[in-house]
Amino acid sequence: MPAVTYDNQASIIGSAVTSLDVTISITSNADRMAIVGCGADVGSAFSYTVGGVAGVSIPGTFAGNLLTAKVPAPPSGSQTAHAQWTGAANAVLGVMTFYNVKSTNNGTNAATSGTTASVTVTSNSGDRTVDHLFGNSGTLSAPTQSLGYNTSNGTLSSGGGTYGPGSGTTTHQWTVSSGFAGTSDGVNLVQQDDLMPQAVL
Amino acid sequence: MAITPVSVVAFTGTLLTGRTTWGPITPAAGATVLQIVIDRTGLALLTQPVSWSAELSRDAGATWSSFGGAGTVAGQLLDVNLAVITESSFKNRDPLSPPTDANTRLQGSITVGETVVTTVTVRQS
Repeated sequence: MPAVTYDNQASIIGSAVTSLDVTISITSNADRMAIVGCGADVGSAFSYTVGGVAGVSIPGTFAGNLLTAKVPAPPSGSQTAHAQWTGAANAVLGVMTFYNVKSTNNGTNAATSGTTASVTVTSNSGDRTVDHLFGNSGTLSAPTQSLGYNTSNGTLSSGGGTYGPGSGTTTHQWTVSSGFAGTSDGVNLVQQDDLMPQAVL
Repeated sequence: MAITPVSVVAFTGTLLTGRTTWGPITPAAGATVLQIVIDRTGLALLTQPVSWSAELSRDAGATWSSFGGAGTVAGQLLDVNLAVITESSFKNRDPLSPPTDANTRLQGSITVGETVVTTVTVRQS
């Protein structure tokens, strides 16, 4: 079965804005999935598109606002990741893309605690786990999984994303600066089914 | 290596309803961050949102790629200290690699729903 594979990332920073656009080059490999999210100091009613395809919520992730979303089957090539919300905010927008993704499951979330942001995602071999950490002013550092992006709008808002292996349980952890208040959303990207026909003896 | 911050006014004046382009400008060489700023002073009495975007060229304007974009509300905004917010902006997160050079160009557009006086500034660092 083809394992979920990381493709690309992009992020952008805005001040006193209600929308952000960033360009990302997306693979032409099959079964693409984008994980997109914002970190913002205020705002509500967040929504996303990647290449014009609407983002949808991930069950189990932070429900207070759509700060993390998935975009199934975004188009390939140079595409715009767009986020918009109500209420001018200082914000960061980040997007990561993957392929060989069948679906998502095991969405979860956890609040930061002290100087640690951590979320654990259940997965299987061949899957990939993803986190999106978002919050108020502060610095994010020392991610324990592979870095997608780490974006800070100075003292206003921050957001970061990492991806990890499908290893049963994968913990995505960051060190955050003192006073940072935020949430880590996590999700498992399920690998696509084996496309090869199985011999029946 | 970042440069001493430089600001260049890309547009200043009255914008009529619709889309207005600005540039291209040539950023200072060696910049890794470009911040596209709009002055909110003239937006204080407006009711319609404003959006703006930019494109970057690394071959003296022969080809262009999207650099980013943003939108904002009209009206006077206050920060957490109740001070008037004087500008809205967006900037790249990943440092430009390579940094800007003599062949780098930046252009963009701003779209408004009503006549407004504003300034578009490109801050480079």
